[in-house]
Amino acid sequence: MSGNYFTRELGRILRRSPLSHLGSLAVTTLLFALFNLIWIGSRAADRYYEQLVSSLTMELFFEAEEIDDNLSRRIAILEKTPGVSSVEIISKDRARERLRERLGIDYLSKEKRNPLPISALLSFQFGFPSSESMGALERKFKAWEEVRDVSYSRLWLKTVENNREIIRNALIILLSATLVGAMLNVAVLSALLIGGKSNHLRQLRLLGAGGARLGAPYLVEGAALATLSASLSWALLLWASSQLELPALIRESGPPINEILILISAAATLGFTGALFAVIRSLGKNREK
Amino acid sequence: MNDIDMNNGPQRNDQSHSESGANSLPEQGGARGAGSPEVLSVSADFIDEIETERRTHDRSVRIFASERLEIDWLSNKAARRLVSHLVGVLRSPPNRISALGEDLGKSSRRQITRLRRRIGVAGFQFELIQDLSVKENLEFPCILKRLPKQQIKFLVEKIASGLNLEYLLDEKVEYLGSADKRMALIARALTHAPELFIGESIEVGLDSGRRALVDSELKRMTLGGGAVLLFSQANSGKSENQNRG
Repeated sequence: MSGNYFTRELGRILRRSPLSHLGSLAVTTLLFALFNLIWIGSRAADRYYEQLVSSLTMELFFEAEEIDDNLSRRIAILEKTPGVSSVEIISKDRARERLRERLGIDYLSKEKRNPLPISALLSFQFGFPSSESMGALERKFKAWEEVRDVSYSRLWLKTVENNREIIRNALIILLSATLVGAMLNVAVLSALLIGGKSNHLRQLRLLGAGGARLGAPYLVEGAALATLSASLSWALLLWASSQLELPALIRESGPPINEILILISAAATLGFTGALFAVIRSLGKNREK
Repeated sequence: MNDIDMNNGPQRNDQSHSESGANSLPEQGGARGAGSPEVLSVSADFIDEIETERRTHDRSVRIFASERLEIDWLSNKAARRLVSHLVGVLRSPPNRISALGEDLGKSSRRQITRLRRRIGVAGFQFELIQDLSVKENLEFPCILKRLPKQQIKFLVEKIASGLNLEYLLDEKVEYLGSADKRMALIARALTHAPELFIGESIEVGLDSGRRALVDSELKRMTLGGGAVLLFSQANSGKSENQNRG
């Protein structure tokens, strides 16, 4: 009986103002679609920066004139260093060849002795390079007496990291703004519906209905609206992405289905919270002195 | 919560017992007298505080189970205020009003919500709920009391039959005439077999046949152990005494 009353009340709320619900559904869906786009954008940006940073290499210049046992041991240690994916040894001759390739002329042709050092070019695993991790490696390698110098694009890495941080903060602000917008949209709808039924609710309260009974249909309605909006927005985006030829980076940045389900659940919680806010505020206003 | 036997009507739990008030008389045939539980008590100084239009002669209001009490010596404004305190719309000071064994000044919000389910009010700020049909209106107090579905059906049919409202049950409240609305409101206040019925000029606007039906339902209620408190303005200013049913 009580359940019947609850569903009938929910039906009455929906029937009473279908246009308000439709409008709110459209606005919330748009906000969630915006959220989804920003979410995918942030994942794509993250992925792009990871790829960019992962192409970073570090070069170690050795004091030794030739590869001896000691240097071989050090190279073996380098290969086993966490985060390092490959080590390329550049001999003196190879270094000279690289210089010639780069400059187009052999500046060392008149030199009797090749002054270029033996070096090791380190490549890193995906996601490993950062100012912190590279700095730590640099300090570690510089402490070796066999190492003359360590070189990598410090400034470039720092700039990339700063840019990434700025973009991340901007995206967090945008994401928060869309979420707050969606929550307020649900809250405003609930407040309007409660306001429109203030006399009805007052009578129910006078008859002895508690706050939970009065507020429950609005809470369910808020959560359902947010869930429906979030599901619609994802369906819309997934359909659009299936129809368009998107760059691989963006296509691969789409969240997996379990993440989408988590985001829809979070949207339901958000709708519930918005409605709860409205229920507490609106029903509290009519509370007895 | 009341236990309602479908054959024998409502059976109420005992309230705190006290001596019958000097200003209350029994309904004929009611199970009252010394030892009847006190249903409502309002102190004289509180009455004096809320009545700003007339002299109250330091009268208190006390009503016991199975009694019917009619008050016409309070102004409409004071009566409204008293009922607002009784149903907890206005907070009461402690030790001034007690209803159904609870001091309203010391009751929590939750207790007041539960108390409202044990009282039936027709009039004052109580109105029918516009969005619902008459039947749904009658069912609602029973739903709040968490009565079983069958019992709710029985109670609604019983009160509708008693007040001759069967033909109105499926009507939407907004389509009812004023007399039908008043009858439906009285029916809603009585459906869940309240321990205390409060009415405001309930007979105004009703024809003699309907008055008789209402009177008979109120009698049935007092016979079942309920208390009836009626406010009327019929003899306002003339009568200095409380009339008893």
